[in-house]
Amino acid sequence: MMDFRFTPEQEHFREDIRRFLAAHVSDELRHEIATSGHSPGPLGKQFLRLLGERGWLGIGWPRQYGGQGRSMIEQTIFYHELDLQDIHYGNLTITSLAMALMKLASEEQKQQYLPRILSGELEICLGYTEPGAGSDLAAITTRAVRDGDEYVINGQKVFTTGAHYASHIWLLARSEPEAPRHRGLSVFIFPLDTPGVTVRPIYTMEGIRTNEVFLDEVRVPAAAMIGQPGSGFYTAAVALDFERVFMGKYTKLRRNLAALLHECRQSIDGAAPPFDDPVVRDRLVSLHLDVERLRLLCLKSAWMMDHGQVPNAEASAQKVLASELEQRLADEGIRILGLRGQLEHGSAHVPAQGHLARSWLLSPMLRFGGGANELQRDIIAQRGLGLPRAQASGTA
Amino acid sequence: MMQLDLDPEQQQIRAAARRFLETECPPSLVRHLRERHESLPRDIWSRMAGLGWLGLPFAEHHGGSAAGWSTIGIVMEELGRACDPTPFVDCVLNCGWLIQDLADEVQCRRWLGPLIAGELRVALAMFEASGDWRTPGCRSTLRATSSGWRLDGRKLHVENAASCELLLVSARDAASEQLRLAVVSPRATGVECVALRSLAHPDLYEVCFSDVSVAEGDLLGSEDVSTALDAALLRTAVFQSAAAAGGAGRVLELATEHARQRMQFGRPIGSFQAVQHLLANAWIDVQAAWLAAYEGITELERSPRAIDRAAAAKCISNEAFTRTCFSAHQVFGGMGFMWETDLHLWTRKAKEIELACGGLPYHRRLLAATLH
Repeated sequence: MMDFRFTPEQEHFREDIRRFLAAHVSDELRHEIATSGHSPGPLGKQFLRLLGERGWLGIGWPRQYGGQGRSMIEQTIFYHELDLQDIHYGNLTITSLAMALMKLASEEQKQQYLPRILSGELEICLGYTEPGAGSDLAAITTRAVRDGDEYVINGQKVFTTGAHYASHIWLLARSEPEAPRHRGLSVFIFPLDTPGVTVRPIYTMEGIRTNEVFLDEVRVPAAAMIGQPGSGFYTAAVALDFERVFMGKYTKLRRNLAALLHECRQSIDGAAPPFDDPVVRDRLVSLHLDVERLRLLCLKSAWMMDHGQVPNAEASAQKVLASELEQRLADEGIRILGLRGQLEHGSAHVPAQGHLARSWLLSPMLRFGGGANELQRDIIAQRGLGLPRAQASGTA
Repeated sequence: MMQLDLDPEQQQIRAAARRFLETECPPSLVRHLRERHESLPRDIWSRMAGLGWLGLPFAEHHGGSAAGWSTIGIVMEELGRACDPTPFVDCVLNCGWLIQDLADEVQCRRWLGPLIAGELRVALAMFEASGDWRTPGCRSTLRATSSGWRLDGRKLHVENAASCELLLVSARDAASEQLRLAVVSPRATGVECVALRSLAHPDLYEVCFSDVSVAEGDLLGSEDVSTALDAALLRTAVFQSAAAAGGAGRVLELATEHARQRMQFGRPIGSFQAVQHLLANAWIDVQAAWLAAYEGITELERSPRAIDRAAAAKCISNEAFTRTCFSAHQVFGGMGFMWETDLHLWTRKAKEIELACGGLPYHRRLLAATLH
């Protein structure tokens, strides 16, 4: 029977999470998150430890790796509840890399990394992008050269978010220079304090730090390679599918829309609330419908994972919808709120706690990051619809 | 347990419905009926009755099968895929179901049995010039006289009025202002059907009632039917959402196939990124439309209060259907624009579904009222 509802047990679980969050999420923590960007500050780290102790970081993981062995639907419920409380660390270590490790790493590597990821000891940043390899990931030139039991890595990564606080890097490098460009890449995991690694800050338009990472004669053990030599493009593609499902969460947008609706219902100095204006109201209905579309695709992806499938075209669809909707929601929201819409978190008179302003500044990145939306649409056309490969595109 | 796809049994039902419609209802038949301004394909209709489709929503003691709503949704999805030329929605989902909602036992026996058997076709005469269906928009009146009720008024956009057996007509009681439903033959004295010409529905009428006699036993229920009509519109809208998802899915298949075959500049146009992106957007639209439709159906079946889910299903799926058709036109170019090609049949159907059940602005207002 078709059924779109969560089970009573799942609703129960949601209540548990809500109670926990009500007791442990303070305004100070929210403020820290709002101002510190993607990296957890002292309060955030304390909070993550608490989650780890309860086993809530690996809800959907198998028990053998320290998880709770629950479903992905339940893991989704958990991250959605965090989002609704304004806790959205981009914790891709858990939601994307660990999922890819479970699928592709050796048993020894799983034992080595997964429990430490769960305890919060290991946080891994993504080393994909290079100055000459953005959406065209196969253009990577960072080299990994085999030398006995080690690889020697040289090259440069850019937009390496989290490299200044993560413990490890998940790095895509060219290890098979003679192979065709998609078959010559491998993924390595190694600590960022390995000699030869230099991390330098870059600041983005939203005022948040990301990094460039220089790799100069960095020696890592051959066992740091995930999967077979040359399988890196595929490994990255699997991790990216999980990443897009996580990036494509609808709850942040539901929360932003709720904040906008709340503002629209207020009367300021006796003026009619914006919600009373039918022009405004219909724009809000459109935004609501788009959040609903995204919610349904999110549920579908989580449900697919529970049935042993990796959402592929589905993940890309989620990413496209979520990123474009986040931009539209912020942009139209600010337009509806008028001059007040421009005010940022920390300013007097700020509407919607500054969510819309922050979202608006972030939104250009969402459309090109994690694989540009143009690439996502290629993936949907070629994998979802089976259309022939376009001449000038290589899909990840 | 959450279940976001059809289960194996439902997939069999869908496959059987698809096989039936592929044989009995090819696009050539849809076009043929349109050319003849007809929408009562009698031979399919009796076979649909034979399959039990016309009795799906009705209680077993009325001769129906009291099917779950998902099953009706599956049939609707497939009818949408086949660009449904039949009066299934109007006759079964609108009229038959309203009769079951409102009529007494005697009336149900009189009308539902023949309807389920495919021998009685009923059309809903509900909308008037203003597009509103409640008072004061509904200006048709029923007057009580010493010799029974008299019906006067003018209904628009009545499907198949000239060829169906009965009309279900809404009118307000001139004395009490309550909205009532009367069952009237289109061939009764004082009834006149005037054909309208629509870009969407092939067989649409204005029906004028002038001092038409209505027996007490031909009125449904004894109370105001406004609420029942609102509920019926929403119910039909969620089922039509499945038809919209099915239609959009079929149109996307046709466009994708064409993009694979059609060569320009020495390669299939489906290898061009611009074409791929057009179709990728349609793919996202179709996925969301399908999920929204079945969520609307299952939630409204659970509770008539699920107005938010039902109205969202209507908006999401109907917009997706129209958009997908226009994207497909872009892919097909001239080969979808000629009369003898099939695509425009679905494009028209998309608009027919969108305008039905109060249309999108009505459902967007319903949604606005649930936003908080």
